[in-house]
Amino acid sequence: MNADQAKLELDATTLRPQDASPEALAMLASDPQLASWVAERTAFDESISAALSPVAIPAGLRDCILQVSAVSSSRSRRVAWLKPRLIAAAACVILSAAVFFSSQDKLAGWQAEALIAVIALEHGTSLLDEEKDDLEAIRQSLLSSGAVSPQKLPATLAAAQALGCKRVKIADHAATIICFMLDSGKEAHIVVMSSADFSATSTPEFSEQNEWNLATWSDGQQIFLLATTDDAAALKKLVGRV
Amino acid sequence: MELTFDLCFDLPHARAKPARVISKSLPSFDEIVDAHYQGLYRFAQSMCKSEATAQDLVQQTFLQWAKKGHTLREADKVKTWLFTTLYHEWLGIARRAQKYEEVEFEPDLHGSTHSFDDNEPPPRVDNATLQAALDQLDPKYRAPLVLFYLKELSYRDIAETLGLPTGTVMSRFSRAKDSLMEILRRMEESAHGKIISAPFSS
Repeated sequence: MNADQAKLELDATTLRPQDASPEALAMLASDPQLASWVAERTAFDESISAALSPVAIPAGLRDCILQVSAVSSSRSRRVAWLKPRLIAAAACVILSAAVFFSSQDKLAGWQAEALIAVIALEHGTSLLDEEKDDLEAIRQSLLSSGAVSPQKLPATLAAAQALGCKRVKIADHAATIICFMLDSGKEAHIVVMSSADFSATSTPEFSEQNEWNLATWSDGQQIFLLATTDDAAALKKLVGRV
Repeated sequence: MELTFDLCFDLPHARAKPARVISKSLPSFDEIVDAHYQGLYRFAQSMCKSEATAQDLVQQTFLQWAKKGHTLREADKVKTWLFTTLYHEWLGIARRAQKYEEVEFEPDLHGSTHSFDDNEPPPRVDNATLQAALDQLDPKYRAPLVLFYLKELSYRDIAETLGLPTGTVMSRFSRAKDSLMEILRRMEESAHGKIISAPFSS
């Protein structure tokens, strides 16, 4: 290692001196001029690092990430760290786990992603593109921007107070989320996508995921996922199934 | 110097030195989030300059982890994996927004690789000033520099995160630091020394 190489490496390790190689550290110890240069450089780096750290972390971010984890499938995560020999040795356990997970993973992939996007909106860690209380204005805005716009919504839902919309990607497909405020003070969020992208039944299917009540259906042209933390009865009322 | 211990029993002769036991058990998802979400957010925020986008990037990163983390075989690579994923997510957003263009490094614009001038006092900096200065750096210099100053990763891990050779990353650190100092000096001069918080060094 020559002096220039040592200088470059020491410059790359001013804030993490433990990462420097013994060769570079030896040159540092034997060269006062180099040591002076590194000390000056370190002082600058420490001041910059200190100025960078006060970036405040949004209060709800951690909870939202963990909500995401609760919604997203845990199957791959859990299998991930099992060594092959353990899998082989515990075949019966895996079989049981598969049965367990298949019963837990009620949500299709796109539904899980849609719910994650909804949770981010509900927690305010993802922001609405537009805040409007007029559903028709929201529809027109979506149409004019080429975004997915709901062609028809259940009447009860459409009568609720709109809050705004967000254009998102769900499983790499364009989608729109429109948010509503319900009389109960809770919010409802409808995710709209083209039915060409995914499939859903024409009759709403209801499910529950943690604190969320969900309804999924298709009108032949578009598919919808309606999500709310309001109770199941309120959700059914919104989709006209009471 | 070798330390000796006075044991009250005899150890078996020729006993193999026990290997240091390193736990390879994987942290839970919650533990991974707790350990890394703040560093990831700071990196994202420094790169995209938008709180909302930074939050989206961090959430997207953990979503990717939930989906694909199982492909990682080395538990000690979790942090690098997360930073790499976030960096790629940011690149995708930046390119879509046409905010990121490949710009070749120009020493005249970005300073030199020489040491600081002893005759000039170092610039003073606070967080807002620093962010404004970082914004003036080309992203290909800003990304390694921000990662460097966050102190989360070694320079080797930063190279892996950015998909660059180690030597390239080290030279980018060096040039980017020089550029940053030059930018801060210019900003301080233009503000006539009005940056008064957080003195550069004590």
